[in-house]
Amino acid sequence: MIKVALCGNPNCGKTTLFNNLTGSQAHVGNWPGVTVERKEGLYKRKKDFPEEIEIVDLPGIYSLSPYTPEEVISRNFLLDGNPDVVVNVVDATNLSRNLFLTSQVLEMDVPVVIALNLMDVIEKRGDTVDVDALSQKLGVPVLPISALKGNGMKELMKAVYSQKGKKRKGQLQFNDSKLKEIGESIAAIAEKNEISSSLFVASKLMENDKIVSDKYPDVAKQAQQIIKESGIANSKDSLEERIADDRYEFIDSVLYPFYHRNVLNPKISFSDRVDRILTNRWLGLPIFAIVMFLVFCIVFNSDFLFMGAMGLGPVRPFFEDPEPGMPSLGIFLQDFLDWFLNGLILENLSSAMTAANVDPWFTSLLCDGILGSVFAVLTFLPLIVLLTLFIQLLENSGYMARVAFVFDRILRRFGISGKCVVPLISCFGCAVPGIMGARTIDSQRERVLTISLTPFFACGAKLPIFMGIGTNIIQVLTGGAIQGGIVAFIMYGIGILGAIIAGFFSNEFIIQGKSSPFIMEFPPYMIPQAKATGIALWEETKRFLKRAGTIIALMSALLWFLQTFQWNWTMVGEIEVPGLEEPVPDIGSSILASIGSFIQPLFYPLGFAHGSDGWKYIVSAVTGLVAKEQVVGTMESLNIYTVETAGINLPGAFSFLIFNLFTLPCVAAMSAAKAELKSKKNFRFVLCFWIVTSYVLSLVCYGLGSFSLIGTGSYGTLEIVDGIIAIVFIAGLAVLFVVNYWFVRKKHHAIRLLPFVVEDKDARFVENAIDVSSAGVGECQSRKKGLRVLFGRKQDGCCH
Amino acid sequence: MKLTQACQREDLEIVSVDTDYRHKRHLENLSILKGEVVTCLCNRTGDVVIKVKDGRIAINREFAEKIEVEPLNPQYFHVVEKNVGFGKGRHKVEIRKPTPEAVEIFRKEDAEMAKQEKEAKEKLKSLREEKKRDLGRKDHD
Repeated sequence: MIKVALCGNPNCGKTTLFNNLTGSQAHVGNWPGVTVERKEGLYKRKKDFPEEIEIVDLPGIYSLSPYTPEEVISRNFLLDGNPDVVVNVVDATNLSRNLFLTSQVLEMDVPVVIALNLMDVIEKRGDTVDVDALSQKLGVPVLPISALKGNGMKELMKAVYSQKGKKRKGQLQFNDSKLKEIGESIAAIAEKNEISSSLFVASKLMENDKIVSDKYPDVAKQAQQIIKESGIANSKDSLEERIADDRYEFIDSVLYPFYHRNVLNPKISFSDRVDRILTNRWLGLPIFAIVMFLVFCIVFNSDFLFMGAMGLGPVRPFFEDPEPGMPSLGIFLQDFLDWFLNGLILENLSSAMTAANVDPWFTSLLCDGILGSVFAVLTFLPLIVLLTLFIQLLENSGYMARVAFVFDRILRRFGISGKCVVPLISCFGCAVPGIMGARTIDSQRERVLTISLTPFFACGAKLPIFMGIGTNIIQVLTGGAIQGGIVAFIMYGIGILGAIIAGFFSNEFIIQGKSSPFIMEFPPYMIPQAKATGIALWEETKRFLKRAGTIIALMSALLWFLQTFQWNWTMVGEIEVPGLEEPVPDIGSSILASIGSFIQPLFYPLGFAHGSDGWKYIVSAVTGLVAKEQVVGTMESLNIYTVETAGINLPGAFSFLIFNLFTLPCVAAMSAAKAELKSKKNFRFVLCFWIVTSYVLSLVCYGLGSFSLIGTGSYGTLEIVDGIIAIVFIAGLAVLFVVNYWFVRKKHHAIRLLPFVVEDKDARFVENAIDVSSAGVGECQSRKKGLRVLFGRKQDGCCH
Repeated sequence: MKLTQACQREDLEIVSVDTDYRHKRHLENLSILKGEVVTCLCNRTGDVVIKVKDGRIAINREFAEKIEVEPLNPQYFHVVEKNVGFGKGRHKVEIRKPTPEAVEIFRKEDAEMAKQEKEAKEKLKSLREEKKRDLGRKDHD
């Protein structure tokens, strides 16, 4: 089997090529940093070659000196994964920058094939690239392809196969003869020490690359000697700067004769003109707000664009008393599915089973226990699919990167960089890719912060909770004043607001530090590809159906069992409930009830758990840990999914929603977080952070909401205490914010994290200060092990 | 001057990048290094988007301040004083802006560009059609 690695700059189309070659359906998007993991697949046309070809898709890298964690994965695989052939995917629309990586890849002792991607765009522009001449000049095969349209795939694979088993010696891609000389003499030493890819190691040692010099300390020492003797390091610019400059010069000299630009290519392109509006100082944010509002309107507003409230629009056709306005697409589909599943299938099935004299316990298990909950969850499928569709469109059009840029300035005040926005927005779909996407953030502090904020950007599975409770309970309790869609909209808003508050809080008091710089490449705008979007939708649907069919059905069966039996293994009796015609099972005496009641007192202050039905809400929230969709399923099976039996007041309902929004995410997301955070300490911190935030915020919500209960019978001691806590919390937050902003921050930030220069015998490097006392004197742990540096304020001139 | 002061569509040459080793290397990888000519595409009070080679790169204000640049066409831009803020906080700030003449020149350039673009598109279209016709003829033969 041949192992082929795909490497290239971020967003140059590696994953699209990978999907095309292997027939896989890996997630693609139009922003840098979609792929954060290594992916493997087999070439799909197995008959073409006698051997199987394994293709490895790697995260995008700008150079072989990694900057973020996902770039480390690529570098490690290229160096230590022993690929037989490396396919360097190059974005032909930005050739000279992309060839910077190529110039480093060509230094390695491995067969390389260059795939010039996006050649269709180049042709459309009227530019030309002399591919054969370029191939001759670089000494490796260069093939024009278009990964999106699937052009040139066979030729590429043929070229890859022909390189199999060939021994290729790396070549130094320097223009400057002096640099070349030094590189070659270092390489000779490396070769003596039997290091493979000696030229690559030599050039990295010249660039002062830490990973390589740590790996081969002896060679590094000799290399330092050679560089010192040559006298090249004495000039004003550092050596790595000179090398980077030289590489670009080399690329230009290679490229100049073979790349012909259409003279009439506009300097300011269409993308730039669109950018001027979308990233405008004043319009940027409002445009984003409008886009999001439209998305929410189309997905889950039962009164589309509020046409009904304004008395506009077509009359609702299928209702007995016609109202103006119409439901949005998502709600319409949901209603249809509800009618189909619950109205048609479930009712007919249960009556058929009763008629056929099936054991009543089995009918109850199947219809009430399993199918009831599964269907309650399934009705939300259209909403989730539609939401995914819009998130996909946002990602694939290239707008996402702009949103990150627009948000950067605001979030920076709260210690978060705009880079965190991209993974956080994908959390609206599912938290797991969001948490994994946090790899693209280069500072460890912000990665932890981003991961801890992921549940606040409510994932698709939380949508059923908001919509279900919103429509079935809150909408009815308020007499239709607050519709389900509005409740969902409010909850998303609260989530974002909560994220900002929590981010500010943990930034100031727990994980202190300054946000890292925002440097991001903007992808060109593209019309979203129908195929990629379709695949993403299908994957989402499949995942949702799979969950509903397996884990939710299983959990429902388990719950049914626990709520139907008592501790003495007999079934619970039946009781009459006022408001319902038929008697219902007395689940208050079941196993589940006694377990739920045991932990119930813990949740008393949150407002939703102190009634006689309170334990049911706790059970629902806890089962949500398995999968968030389960919350609605459990509520359905515990019979609190309708307002008559809900046993909850309005503030309590909101408090329950907020608790579910902020609390621990599902198990899948938690294990992803554990894997990404790497350290146990950080993971424990994040878990505590989620639990505390959800508890405190839902308590505050109930405290504030319960003011509306004043005068009614249900305003008791609990509400008074909660109210006081809520007011104290909000006042405290405001005071902290003001104090921090005006007094601490201004003084502290001026001296915190000053970059300063450390000089020792060997090298001169810049460090960021940490742990600065207010007097401006502090110390920092240097990158060089064991070296702690004391320093004073810069204005005092005592930086050492 | 600092990159934060750059105006929209201004051509600049990078003079120096004053930051730590890690970020400097990252910028080098993105082709932002001494001597490179870049174009400023957008400036939102210091947050800039620049065009480097054929890529567009967004940089936030604090970081852009560390990048020193030299304008290539200084005659097109001048510094204007402007009052900002309200009440007691009202103060003067210096803003770089294109001169009225430059605005006129840019407008003309844009118009010329649009015209040429249109022509080029038509040319490409006719070329493509010709190619198709040629292919058709060959098939016919």
